[in-house]
Amino acid sequence: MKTRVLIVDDEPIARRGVRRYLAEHDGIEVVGEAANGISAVEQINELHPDIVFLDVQMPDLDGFGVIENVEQVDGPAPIYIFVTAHDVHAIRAFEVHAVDYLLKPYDKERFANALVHARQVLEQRGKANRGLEPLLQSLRSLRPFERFVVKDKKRIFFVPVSNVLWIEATGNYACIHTASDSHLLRETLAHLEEKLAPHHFIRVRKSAIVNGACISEIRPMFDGVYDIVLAEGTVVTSSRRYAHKLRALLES
Amino acid sequence: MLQATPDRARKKWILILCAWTMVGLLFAAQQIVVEKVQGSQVHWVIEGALVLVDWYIWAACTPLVIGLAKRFPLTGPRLARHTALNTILSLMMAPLASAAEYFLSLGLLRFVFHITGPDVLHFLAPFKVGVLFMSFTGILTYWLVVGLYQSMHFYQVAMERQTIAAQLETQLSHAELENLKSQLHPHFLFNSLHAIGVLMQEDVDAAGRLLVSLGDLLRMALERRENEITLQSELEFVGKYLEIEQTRFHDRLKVHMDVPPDLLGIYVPSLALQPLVENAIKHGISVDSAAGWLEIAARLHNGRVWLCVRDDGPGPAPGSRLRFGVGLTNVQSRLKQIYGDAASLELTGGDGRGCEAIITLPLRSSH
Repeated sequence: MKTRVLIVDDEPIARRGVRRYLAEHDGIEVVGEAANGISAVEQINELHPDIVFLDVQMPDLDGFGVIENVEQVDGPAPIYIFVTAHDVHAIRAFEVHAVDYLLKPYDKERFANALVHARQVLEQRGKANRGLEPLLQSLRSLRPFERFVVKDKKRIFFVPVSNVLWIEATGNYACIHTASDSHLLRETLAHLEEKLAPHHFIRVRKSAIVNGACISEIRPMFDGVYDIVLAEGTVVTSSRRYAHKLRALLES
Repeated sequence: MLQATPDRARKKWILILCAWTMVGLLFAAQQIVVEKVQGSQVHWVIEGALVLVDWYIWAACTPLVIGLAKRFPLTGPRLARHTALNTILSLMMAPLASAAEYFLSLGLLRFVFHITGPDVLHFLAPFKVGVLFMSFTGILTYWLVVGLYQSMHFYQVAMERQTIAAQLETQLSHAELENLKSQLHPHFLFNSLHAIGVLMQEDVDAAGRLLVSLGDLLRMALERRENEITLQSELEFVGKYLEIEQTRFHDRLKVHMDVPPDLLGIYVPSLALQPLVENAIKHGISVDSAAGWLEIAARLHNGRVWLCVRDDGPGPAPGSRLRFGVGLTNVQSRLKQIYGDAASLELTGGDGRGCEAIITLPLRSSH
């Protein structure tokens, strides 16, 4: 059975380079090429490649964003070989988590090493499919979180954090509300609260987070409960348990 | 300069008083010594007090004179007018001060030393003579204060300039490296090198061309030192940059330059356009495979320079706020640094599609 490879890079020349080097190895089938992150997510979901050559810096959705947004499937996840030209954070994270990566410009030998290693991992994969979660987690702490990636039925798009008014928990999902739209995300509020902390979002009750920059009015109701009026008129009621967070915002 | 904080105001007064006391003591000593040599009878205290009274009147006038010197400085385009004004003011103030000196001295003699009648003439000249005599000294005094203020002012300005120059110098070496980095982002550099590596195996001539372009660009970036360069040099730099991007993005990129030839000689901040072009490619053209059109335009409008970089990418999402990234923020702060509030950078979405970055700045045809 051939090893199925997907090539992701925004530069055509770089994609051709990967193809050329792959041609020197047997048992490889290039199943697709993607020129941006969103196309990469779609192709990974659809084609289930074994190995993905993944450029880290791409406009809009970057390489790490691709991995975060690929659907989790029951079968084995692809092996990713990261490719980067210059990204200090990424390289440090790769070193820390012993993840294979190629540094541009690279030559045949380095490319072959990475490919051979990935194929070895692929063979043993049934036993140990090491997740990339620790890598992504340490990168998250280094990079500011600036937008939500929202998946509709057949579309992926971005919602900048600054456009979000408030977020509501509904079952296993979080619903992010902008002035014009609402979108469902498969995330917990606790996780979002942590991600959004640098953006002055505050938890106002167990099931709601509010964008501090969008609050237009805070009305004390009774016993530590507040009605928070947002810029476009929505009223979100806080709970007493989270009143201290609201007060901290008012004092800052 | 002389700020009105209470502490500084008090210090200022003490300084003025000390200075005039010194002057007064010197003149008192002069009078006393001369009288002593002439062999006349000397009343130390009275004569000393009278001389000091004269100069303390000027001490009291000093802030006023400094204020006038500040208001009508003896520099700049209105030098002749201000000199005339100060002359008139000195001619008015000197007799007034002299009259005040006369009456204060008279009072001092009468109430403190109990000298009245003809004895007064021993210490004080008659009113007309005294005022006339002291007025000439007064004019000189007025100009002395103005001159002193002016030279202190020049000194202070020179010191400030020196400090700023020293600060700039230390910032410069750091800035030079940062400058190179901002002109040629390492990401761009390594990606271009990688493209050369791939092209070498496909098309040696194309690889050679890309290598030469990259070399040219690197050389231009390293040799750039001025804050402002001609629009022509900036466009040459942008042109080289675009040549490389065109190769990397498979000739998809079509560039339209709309710059009237007579504008090529005007001065623009170095690195004003390149980040705008980079931004348009990064967020406009490379995001959308249907996009590939870039326009660079320059115009002169009401004595101001108007530079525009436009792309046909997807543009900003409707209703979303446009934010400056690192590149555009740098351009903005450079504009502020060079032109203050006279220049601006704006980023707007096109009509449904594309994005427009516009710089406006004052026209300069030389440094």
